[in-house]
Amino acid sequence: MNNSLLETLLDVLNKAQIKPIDGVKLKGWRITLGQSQRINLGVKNDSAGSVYTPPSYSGRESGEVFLIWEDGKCSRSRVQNTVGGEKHWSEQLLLWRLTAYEDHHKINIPSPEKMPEVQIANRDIFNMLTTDTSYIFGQQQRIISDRPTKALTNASLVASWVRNLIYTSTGIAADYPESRYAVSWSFDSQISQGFAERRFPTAEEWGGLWEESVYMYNLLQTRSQPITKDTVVILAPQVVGQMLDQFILPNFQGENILENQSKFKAEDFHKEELFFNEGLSLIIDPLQPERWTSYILTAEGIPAVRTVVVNNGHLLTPYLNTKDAKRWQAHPTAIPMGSGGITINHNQSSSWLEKIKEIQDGVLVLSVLGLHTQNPVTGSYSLAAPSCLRIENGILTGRTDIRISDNIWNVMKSKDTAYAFSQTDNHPYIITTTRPENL
Amino acid sequence: MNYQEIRKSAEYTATKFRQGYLIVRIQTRSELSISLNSGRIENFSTSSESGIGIQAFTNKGAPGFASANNLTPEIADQLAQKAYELALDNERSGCELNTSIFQAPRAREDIPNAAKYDFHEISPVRLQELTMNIHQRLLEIKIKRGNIAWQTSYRQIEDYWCIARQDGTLVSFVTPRSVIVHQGTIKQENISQSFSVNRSGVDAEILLDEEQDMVLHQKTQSKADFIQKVSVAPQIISGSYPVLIDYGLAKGLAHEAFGHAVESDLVEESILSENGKLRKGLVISEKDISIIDESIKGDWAYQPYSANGILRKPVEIVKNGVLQSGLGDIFSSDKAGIEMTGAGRAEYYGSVPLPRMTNIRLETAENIPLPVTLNLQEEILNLRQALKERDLLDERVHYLLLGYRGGQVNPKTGDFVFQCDGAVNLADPDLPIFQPGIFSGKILSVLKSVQLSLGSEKLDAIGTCGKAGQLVPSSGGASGYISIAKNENIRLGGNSNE
Repeated sequence: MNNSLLETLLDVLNKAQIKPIDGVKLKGWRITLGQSQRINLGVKNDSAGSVYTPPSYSGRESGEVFLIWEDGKCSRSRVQNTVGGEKHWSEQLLLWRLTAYEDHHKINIPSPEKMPEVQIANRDIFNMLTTDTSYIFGQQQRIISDRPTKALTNASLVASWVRNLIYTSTGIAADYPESRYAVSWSFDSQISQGFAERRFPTAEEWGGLWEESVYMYNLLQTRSQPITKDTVVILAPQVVGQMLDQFILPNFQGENILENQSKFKAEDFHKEELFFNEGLSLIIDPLQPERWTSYILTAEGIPAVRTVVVNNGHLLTPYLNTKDAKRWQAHPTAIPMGSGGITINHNQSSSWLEKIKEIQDGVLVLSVLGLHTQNPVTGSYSLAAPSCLRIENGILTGRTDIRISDNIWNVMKSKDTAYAFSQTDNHPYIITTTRPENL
Repeated sequence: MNYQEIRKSAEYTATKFRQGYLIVRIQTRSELSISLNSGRIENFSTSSESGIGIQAFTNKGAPGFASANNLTPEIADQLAQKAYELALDNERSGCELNTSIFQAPRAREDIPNAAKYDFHEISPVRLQELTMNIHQRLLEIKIKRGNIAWQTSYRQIEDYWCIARQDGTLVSFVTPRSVIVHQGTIKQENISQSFSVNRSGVDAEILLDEEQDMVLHQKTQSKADFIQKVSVAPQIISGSYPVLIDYGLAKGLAHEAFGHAVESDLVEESILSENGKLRKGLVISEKDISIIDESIKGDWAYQPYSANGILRKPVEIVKNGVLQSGLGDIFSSDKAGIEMTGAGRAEYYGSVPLPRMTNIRLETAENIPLPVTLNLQEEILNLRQALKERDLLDERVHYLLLGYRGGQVNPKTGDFVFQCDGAVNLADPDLPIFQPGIFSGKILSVLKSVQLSLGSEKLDAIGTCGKAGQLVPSSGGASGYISIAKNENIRLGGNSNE
């Protein structure tokens, strides 16, 4: 790949700062581009490389321009390379001017700041993509050969390498690569597991994740005793991740708070209200090396920082992009890249391997149906959980189906809620006081 | 590159390649989006993107795929070669072979754009002005308690697809669509409840129409009134009840519970299959109930040809209560034991097509007509009256569920869930309102309890289907409000902890 789209845009936008478009000159601009290469493999219904999951290669160069005109109006557009030449870009500039709108927030183009040193590119992935793809084909074959024989197996494998280009009229000129590798698999659409980071998994990581998913799948083939009124509900890390997506991310987004569309008000943060349990903290940390959710700059050109949004139960800050930070009169914060970008800490958390031994009568919720339909602000949920594992006398025994109804804010406030971590998951197991129903 | 040049390029790339077999897809997309928030513009963005995806097959039927967002002939040649090399790698690694495409029917057609207005015919300034006028009216809606924040978005999209195959097939079509969405967030007594109402079409005409007839505005006003009551309403005690669901929920039910379960690539793990084949002839309901999927011109999810260049056919999935057919594409319909119906769709040029729905509807033979009104409260009264007159109203609890908020199905176990905006107990003459409770059950149970429909057919419940991570427009509806009898296998959620 070369710089052609970037060079073209730099030329077009620099000229528009000198020569007016429809009577108005360009005052400032930001270009955010990605030049990506990606390979996908998959398994569909036990078949590797089927017609629905063929080995696929993708090469793209595209991005976004954000413009501020001399009259203060803004324009925003997706862009890609084109064979249209100068005429195309003249037409685009005129369209961008015609679609310019009054920005009452008066957003600025950020100025250059020191870029953090975060390892988000692993050359092994680049080498695999450009020279020898046998590693990813090998993992695909391993899924096929090691899968439980009775399970209908589906899987997805993806490796990507992206060259990021962020340039602004204020002097940001960032050019850096990033890599990603993700593999996920499911058995009978009931057990799902996977790995997603900016590097390949180690043999130990792969083995741990694979063995856990096969173990869980085998357990699901046996029916266990129905739940009782005393059964403790434990949310598995995958379900906790979905809960963060549905409830935490929208309610901590700066814009939602400023527009009165969040559980929280701005003053709750200004007063550092105690809202969660006193041992609980929520952190966005994009600086961890080779993590899927780590980054160097946001798409707006803001350097990554570690941001504590909840500290020992107290609300500290929402997450803020450039516009929301200006309205909040603060510096932009870290932005979570999905639920994996938020870390839950509790000062009395324990090891899951130890914790499970203490549970005499429990049910582990591995997945829920319909979480995305629940009201994110009220935090209440009422969900079917058709694939759960019963815990009896500290041991996972077999499958049961339940329904759970509770409120996430109550769960995370309660002193009776416990948090336990395993080595293979980013999120904890949450041991709740929810009362389950048989489905 | 104009559309005729794209057709030539796609055909040339597909037919000149001398190894294996190629399907070439070229897509161009123009999109503009306007967002308004509490009387002010938040964003006006545009995009114009295009790309090419090439699916190659070895002579034995091993597939490979390559795509790029660059339409030069050189890139097309490189992608064809890359896709073919991946197919060879795939063949060597022992992949599943599929030669069905070699026998696909050949087609040549260029379907004209159904939009009345060209994409850029109405100027951006005028579009902004129309959207703002429509949005400003919302700010005049008053509620009795608390406050309400309004957001409006207008999206206009024009997708052009051209599909060429090595056998000389060359089809192209435009799928124009537009939508105005009003979203309200009511906050009172520390409770917040959001809702949305939309109006869809094919182009900017929906803005001109809405400015004149205010149909969306009236629906929004009624909905705001309803949601305000919902936000402070009690919860439903979980249990099984007779229910009426609106056409949006009926679309959700048909789409999630039946549509996905009969897509030919999913039949193998579907509860509606046996030994990998669709259980055709399975009696799903004793009543005269039908579920039909059909691409409708001018609809949000219109797609006249599959992404493999095969004419899309309407499908009667359930006919008179009997499972009849499935949504089959060229690659898996035989294996699933169903007819090939041209069901393949792709999100964009870089996606591998999968069997998908377009517009799916649930129909009952028996229908009770209702007076036409845009006022929700009047509609609720009409529903109660109609059920009562025919002695169909339960004496104690008979819930009306309104507004589809999404759903999910596990096709393997047959469990489904749906969420609504709120509920009304039609059995109580005071028509008390309740907070939404999740509607859940088993696929094989639900149609057994469908009785009849009330009111007129509506098919414009729109959404986006996310199967396998590919987002495609979906739509549908029903022959009116659908009446579902009490069934122990179908439950309304709410709060069991009370």
